[in-house]
Amino acid sequence: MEIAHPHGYRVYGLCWLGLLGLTVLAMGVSHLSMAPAIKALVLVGLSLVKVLLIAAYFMHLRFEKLNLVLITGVPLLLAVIMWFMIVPDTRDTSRRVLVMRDTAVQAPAAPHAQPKP
Amino acid sequence: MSHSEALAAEQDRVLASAWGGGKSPFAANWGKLMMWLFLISDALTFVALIAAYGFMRYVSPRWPAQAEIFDMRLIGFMTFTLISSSAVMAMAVGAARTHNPKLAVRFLFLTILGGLIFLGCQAYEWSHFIGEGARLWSNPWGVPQFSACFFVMTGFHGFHVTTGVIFLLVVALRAAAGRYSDEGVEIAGLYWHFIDVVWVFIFALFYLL
Repeated sequence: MEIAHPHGYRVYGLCWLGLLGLTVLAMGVSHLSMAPAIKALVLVGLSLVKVLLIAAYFMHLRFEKLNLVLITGVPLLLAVIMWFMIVPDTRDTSRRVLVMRDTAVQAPAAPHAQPKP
Repeated sequence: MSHSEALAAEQDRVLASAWGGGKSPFAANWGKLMMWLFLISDALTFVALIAAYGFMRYVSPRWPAQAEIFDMRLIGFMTFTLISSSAVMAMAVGAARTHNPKLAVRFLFLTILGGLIFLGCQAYEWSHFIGEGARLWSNPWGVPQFSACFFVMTGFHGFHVTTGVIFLLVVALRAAAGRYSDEGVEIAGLYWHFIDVVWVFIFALFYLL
């Protein structure tokens, strides 16, 4: 049996206004000159607040059982884990790609390659 | 207590526990729970796409300025449309739950209209982008990953919006024909809000960053 919760349109209206305000704020932040890492953090933070508003009120997660709320956090947790697994590969990757490209250019033709007629 | 009685007592104990099947640990009906599980798996796909985009962006020595390529007013309007349609969808679920099918159908059709406007804007944006010479593996700005990320991320999201519109249309037509189910409206609503959630991240990380 589901937990009863209110469906006031006023709540949805306030949530909608909040989302629009946060969208305008994010667009304003994108025009500011700041370090890319800080800008990324601010934009991700604003996005997370927006997602929390949508999930809590539009998707009614605020009124669901804690078990359901917890499993919806799994993608977020895996996103963080995935990012930290990718970060080591970003070191010197651009250099490695260039080296591979040079090697490919200098590599001799495959012994079994047939010239096109 | 005999062995069979002990087994029966153990079975009763397990069935009565929250995870034994005797109770509902998520306190949600079957359809709603399955939709949540689908959304979680779908979210993982988008997480992978966004992580791949982040990787390419991070290792790329340069990246085109999006504000000079895209019309940010159009992107802002698309975001406004999707957020508004999400709010209207929440109202449709509210109307369905308070057993007001006529109002729910009206809100559903408004949500569909929002989805169609979004798709129209996206089609315009794609045609404009392609018209400027952007292709999946190349573009005039010299960073092939840029257009690849754009087409894959927005394309996959657009595909979800399209299926969402079809899903809502089916639910709305069924509700209008009297085959009304508040659970069906709520499940469709979850899918539509998920589309909004994904767009929030694409908007911030691809267009604004």
